[in-house]
Amino acid sequence: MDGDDRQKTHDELLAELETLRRRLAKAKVAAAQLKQVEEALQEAQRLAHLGSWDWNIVTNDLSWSDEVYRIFGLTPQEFGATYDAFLESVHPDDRQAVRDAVDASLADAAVPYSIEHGVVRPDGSERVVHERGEVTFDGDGRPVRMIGTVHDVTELREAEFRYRTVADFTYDWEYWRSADGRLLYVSPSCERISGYKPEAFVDDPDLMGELVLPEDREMWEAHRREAERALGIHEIQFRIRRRDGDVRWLEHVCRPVTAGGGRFLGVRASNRDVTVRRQTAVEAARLRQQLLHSARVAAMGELAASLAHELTQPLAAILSNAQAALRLMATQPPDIEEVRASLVDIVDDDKRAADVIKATRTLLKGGESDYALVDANDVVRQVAALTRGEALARDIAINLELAAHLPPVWGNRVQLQQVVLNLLLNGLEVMGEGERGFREIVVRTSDQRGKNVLVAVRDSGPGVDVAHANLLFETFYTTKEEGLGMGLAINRSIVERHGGRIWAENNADRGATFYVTLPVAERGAK
Amino acid sequence: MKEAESTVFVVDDDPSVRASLGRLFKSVGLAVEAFASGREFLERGPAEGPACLVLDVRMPELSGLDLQEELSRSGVAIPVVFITGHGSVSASVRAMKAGAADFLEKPVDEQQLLDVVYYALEKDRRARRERDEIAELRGSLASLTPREREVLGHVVAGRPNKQIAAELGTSEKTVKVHRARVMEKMKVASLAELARLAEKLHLSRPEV
Repeated sequence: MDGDDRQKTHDELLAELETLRRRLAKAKVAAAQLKQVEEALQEAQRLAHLGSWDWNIVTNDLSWSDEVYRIFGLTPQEFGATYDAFLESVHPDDRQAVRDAVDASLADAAVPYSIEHGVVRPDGSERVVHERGEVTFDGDGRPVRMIGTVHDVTELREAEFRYRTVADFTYDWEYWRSADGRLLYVSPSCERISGYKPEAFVDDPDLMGELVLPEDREMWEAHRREAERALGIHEIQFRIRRRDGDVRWLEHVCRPVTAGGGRFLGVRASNRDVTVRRQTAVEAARLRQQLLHSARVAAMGELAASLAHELTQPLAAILSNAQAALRLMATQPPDIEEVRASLVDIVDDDKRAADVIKATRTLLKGGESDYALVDANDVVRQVAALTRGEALARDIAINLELAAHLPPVWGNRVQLQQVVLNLLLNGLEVMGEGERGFREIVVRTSDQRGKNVLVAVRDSGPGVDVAHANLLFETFYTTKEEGLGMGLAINRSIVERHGGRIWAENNADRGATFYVTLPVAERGAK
Repeated sequence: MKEAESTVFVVDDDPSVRASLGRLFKSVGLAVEAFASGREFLERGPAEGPACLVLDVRMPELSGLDLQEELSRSGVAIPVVFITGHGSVSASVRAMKAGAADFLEKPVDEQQLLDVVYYALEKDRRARRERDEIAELRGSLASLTPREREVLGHVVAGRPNKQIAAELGTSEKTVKVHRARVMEKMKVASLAELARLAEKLHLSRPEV
């Protein structure tokens, strides 16, 4: 070599050295960066409880990221990982399933590896992991490499388990219907109530609506529309027909589900089987009606003589008028005008007798009439007409001072008649032993500023015992020899059910006045 | 017949019963006056001619029985026919004991009612005649002098003039004069007639 060549070589070597130095510096930077990235990855894996692994199937070399070691309860990179060491960490119950899943993925590229299994740590504690993996095959289709992740889902599964237990073990039939009408959740208790499994409702979102009895379906559909339109809690009761044909009463409560931003996520609902409660309520209502009816019949029994009197009067008038008419026809010339007047009176008296019979029948008949608009004056007039005879027999006058105009109350006519009847009978009875001479019961009605209707029954009896005034309306409390003590208690029950009030006060002079207030029917009540 | 002069008073608090009874009595030509209460009837005052009272037992304030009592207390004699819607034995006994003409149950058959009413009116008419007669007799009796009154007593006791004269310490002739005066004032022609009148007036033999 000549000097130039050597010099050149020297220069070239220096240059190469410089290049190498630069490369080394770059490599150092890169290594540092790589270390940073690796550290970041490690940190990310730790935070996500997500480890990764890489398995060289040909050499059976397995590498775990630090997080895999941690998940398995081991010190990172403590020992060289192998497939067998991995299987050792898998919960014994799941080991075969894991092995099968791995084999399946190795055998067929189309089968992804995804399995959830338990892990038993060396200290005995257990974790739940979700593993996912992918297999790489060589040109001949042999598996050569498998990489994957281990996700510690223990906390997630525990939380899920808690919520699912809460949901699945609810006694009521719970469900969540999505905004597009799918059932996102149906609690297993639906089977107890409807006879159908949750899947049946999930598969056929219309099933629930179909179970609703045809009579209630319109109400149900209206409710569904309303529940999706308006926020808030919606509650209805309707009947369904169970799979076995039985009819059940459901109390349905639901509310809209919304995400943080107010996004509508459907409706969350509860169905409670209230059949027994309804039946008990129906039975109680039936017994109450029976009691009220028996009491009415008993009260009417006290009026038997009075009723006879109230029928005899018009009958007597009809007979006399008819006989007078016959005589008037026989005279020459017949007094047609007077005959006509007789016939008009006969018609009126016939109607009067019919009214008595009708009022009597209404009070004696079992069952209940519906609520309706009721004129308290009418109620008082009708009952007073029935009791008039009884009052006469006792030498007591019943005088009415009715308000010229009364707003109607919303109530059960028969029961309100029963209230007035009981008050009048009570008045007649307490005055029974009183002194002779002029005695009267005054029934007054008045409008209390359009809010309430007041009915006051004033007697001139001995008055009420102030010390026991609060007992007056208790069942079986009576000061009367023959009384059962039911009348006023029944009155209180009826009046309170009508949203009214009943009380008694002694009059300034003598006797007592019983007051009943009933709320005026709201405008538009039908 | 003098039915038109007779009046039936109807007292019933029930307007239709009152009107129908009124019409029935009018249809047979009776005069009717109807009242809604016993009080109203009492305010009307006594009847001018023969009358009877058709009365409902049960009425507010003053019942039929109370009205009957009130009438007899104040000396008003009028036959009372009770009509009741609901016959109670005790009420009918009380009414009949107090002199009711009859006690009928509603609805009343017209013939029975009319018969009872006619009978009551007839009874009232006779009672009135009797009362008038007695009133007249009492007037005649009052016109006798004390001496004539004494003589009358002895005459109706069936004593001969001679004995009367001895009792009174006077002459038989004077007794005869008194006796003729008595016959004249009492408007009788015979001794038998005089005795009958005395009976009616419940004159007893004078205490001697």
